[in-house]
Amino acid sequence: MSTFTAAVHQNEFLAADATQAHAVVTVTAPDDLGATTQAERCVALVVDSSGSMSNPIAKIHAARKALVTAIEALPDGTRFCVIAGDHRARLVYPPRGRDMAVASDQTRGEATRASKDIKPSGGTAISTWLDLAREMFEGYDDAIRAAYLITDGRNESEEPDVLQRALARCVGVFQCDARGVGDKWVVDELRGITSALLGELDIVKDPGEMEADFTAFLDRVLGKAVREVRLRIWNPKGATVSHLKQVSPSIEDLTTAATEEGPLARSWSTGAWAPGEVRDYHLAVDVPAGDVGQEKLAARVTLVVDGEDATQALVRAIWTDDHALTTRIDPQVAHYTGQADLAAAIREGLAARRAGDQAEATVKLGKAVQLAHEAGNEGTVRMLAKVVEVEDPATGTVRLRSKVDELDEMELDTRSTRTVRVTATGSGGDGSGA
Amino acid sequence: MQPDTAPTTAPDPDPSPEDASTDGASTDSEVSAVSAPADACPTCGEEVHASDRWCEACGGELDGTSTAETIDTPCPACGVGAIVAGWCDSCGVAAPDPRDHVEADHGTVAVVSDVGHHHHRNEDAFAVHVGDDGAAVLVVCDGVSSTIHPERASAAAAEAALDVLRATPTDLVAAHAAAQAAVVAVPAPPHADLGNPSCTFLGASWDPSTGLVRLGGLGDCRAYLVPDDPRHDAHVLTLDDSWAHEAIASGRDPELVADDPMAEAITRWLGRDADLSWTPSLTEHVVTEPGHLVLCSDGLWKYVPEPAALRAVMPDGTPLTRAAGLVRVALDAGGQDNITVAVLRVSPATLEPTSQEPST
Repeated sequence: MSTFTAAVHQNEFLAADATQAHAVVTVTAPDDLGATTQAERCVALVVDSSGSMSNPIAKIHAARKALVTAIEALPDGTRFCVIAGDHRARLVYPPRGRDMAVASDQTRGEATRASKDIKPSGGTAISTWLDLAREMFEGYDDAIRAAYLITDGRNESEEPDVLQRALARCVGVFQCDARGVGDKWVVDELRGITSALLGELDIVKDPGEMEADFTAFLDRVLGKAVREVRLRIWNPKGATVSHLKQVSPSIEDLTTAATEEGPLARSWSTGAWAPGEVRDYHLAVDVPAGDVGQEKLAARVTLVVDGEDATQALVRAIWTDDHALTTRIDPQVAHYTGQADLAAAIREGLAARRAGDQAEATVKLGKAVQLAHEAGNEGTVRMLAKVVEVEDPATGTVRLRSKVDELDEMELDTRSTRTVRVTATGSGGDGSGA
Repeated sequence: MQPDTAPTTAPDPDPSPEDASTDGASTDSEVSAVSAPADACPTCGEEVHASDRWCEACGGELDGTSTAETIDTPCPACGVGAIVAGWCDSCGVAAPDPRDHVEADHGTVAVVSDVGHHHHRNEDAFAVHVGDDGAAVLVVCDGVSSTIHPERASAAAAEAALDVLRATPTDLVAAHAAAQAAVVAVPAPPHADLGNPSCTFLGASWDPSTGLVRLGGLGDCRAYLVPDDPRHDAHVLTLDDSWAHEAIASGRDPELVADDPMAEAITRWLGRDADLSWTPSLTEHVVTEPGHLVLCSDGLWKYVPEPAALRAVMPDGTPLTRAAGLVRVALDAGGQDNITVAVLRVSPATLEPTSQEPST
């Protein structure tokens, strides 16, 4: 089996008084990943069964139908469970106990029948759903463990810190994709879940889209071939990681999720990987000022694949008094800095709009249009255009629309962190994803 | 072949009568090759050799982790950590590069190359061979700093040119062609701002039996001839391929030219961007009196461009003393660039090859 690659993109030249080194590290999984091993998979399907899911009734019908489709698609041998959540969590299938079911014709049939019985009532306390999922996942430490959680509303039945504490208990146990259906849920609430649990966030605008979304989730999980890749970053004495962000396929700030590994190294989990996957990371390292002509390591990045050290890549710093060398910005670093600015501009613009500050919203969303246009992020331009009228994308001249569909605004908010990559022929692509 | 990571030593000052050659990029390793499993390049995944410094497929740098070579003395920068796989495991400083200071002493011919005070690596390279009859061939190459991995270009060029000159000492055109081909073949990752690996080239051939110096070059390395007799002027034997020279040659005012920011730009070089029609400027010089031939990169002559100025600062003594002394002059004057100086003892052809007395 071939190895992961970790390509470092950076301008290694720093001016004499510069104290921060930046690099983009592109991590690529080999196309034959997992060819010689077969990882076990555990899947939890977590569905909102609160009272609002019956309003309209189509929602719960669609959820049940989507569940059934997903269950029927589970390959034999996959471990799974179905959880219905309102202000408490209930194990729908298997009928009792702590062990996950093993997919077979029989268990799929039983789970399908049980899922058709889910009746909506009650409030929403997502911490209970996560805690039950965690109990079910515990004990399958060597498996790829992924949950799919879908909700239609606010986490109204508990305080925010209760959810935070539950998330902290779940970190490292399973990854969780989250979906908000309709327009009554809170983007930041679900983003908190997917950020902490290394999952993907998205909106399901119409209940009719649920079935396809459940199936897509299953395809993604079944496609994963290794359980966990960790990034271990070693810094020499005096240097420290200032930030570590995943910047492609979406922006996630990983910085605070580090595990200490001795005085000079920390590591971060990046969850499960599929063959051929590519993700980019932006690393910034604070370094002590150096002498002109000196070359030092700023960081050594090691990919740890299912517990085994694999590829290593180096981030260097070379101090020079040659301005021609220090004033260059690596194109990848520049691109992703721009993409991060774009995500921030969208977030701030939408917040200003919700707060009624039209002037600020226009400025920020206009800047977002300009940045998205420059980066060739056409998907994001299209989403922005549903919230603002775009007069000139190149200059970011926009006008706020007086009537904006709440779903469109939430879609923009949810997908604001999606990025496009720099390709050999220049950046471009559809920032809205698949 | 890639430069060795083992620490370098000055070669034996009494070379064996057979053969003496060194190049200022790779030295015979005193550490036996570490047999380690083949590794994969972190950038492109292709297989690499354990001792390689860069990937032959994509040009990406390797950290030599698979050799896991540890040097026993503590890190020269912090005194705390150990140099492991090319970097200090405490302060992170890069292992001293053997190319930072290289000396080759073959008695009548000596070469010294130094990284200088401002650059982080030595992008100059040289290669020299002296036969048992005192005939010498020598190549000096200066990597172009504004390109990617110029140090790989200069090392490849010097080695390839020397191979040709050892076989056919008078064929500087073939030596240049081999050097150009070697630089074109240097693997390097594509880069948005930096051009392809490039370097200058100056080859020299000295035949004491005929008293003939042959030179061939592209770029701005220079050769000076400094007679022993102080009443006879020293002079430059080469013409720079620089914008300034070409401007002056076409009639522009030398003072205005010297002040122009373009003045130092070189107009010919080796590399993928070189014009295939470029051939080296060739010079032949018959030595009529004893003296020294000095070949150098611009790291020296930028400080002492005029032949008289260079002569004034060159110490007396052996070629090694002279070469090392001139390098020291450049370092003391600022060491803004890499410095390479080769000094050859030359004298007129005589019927008795050992006679070195100046003729009256």
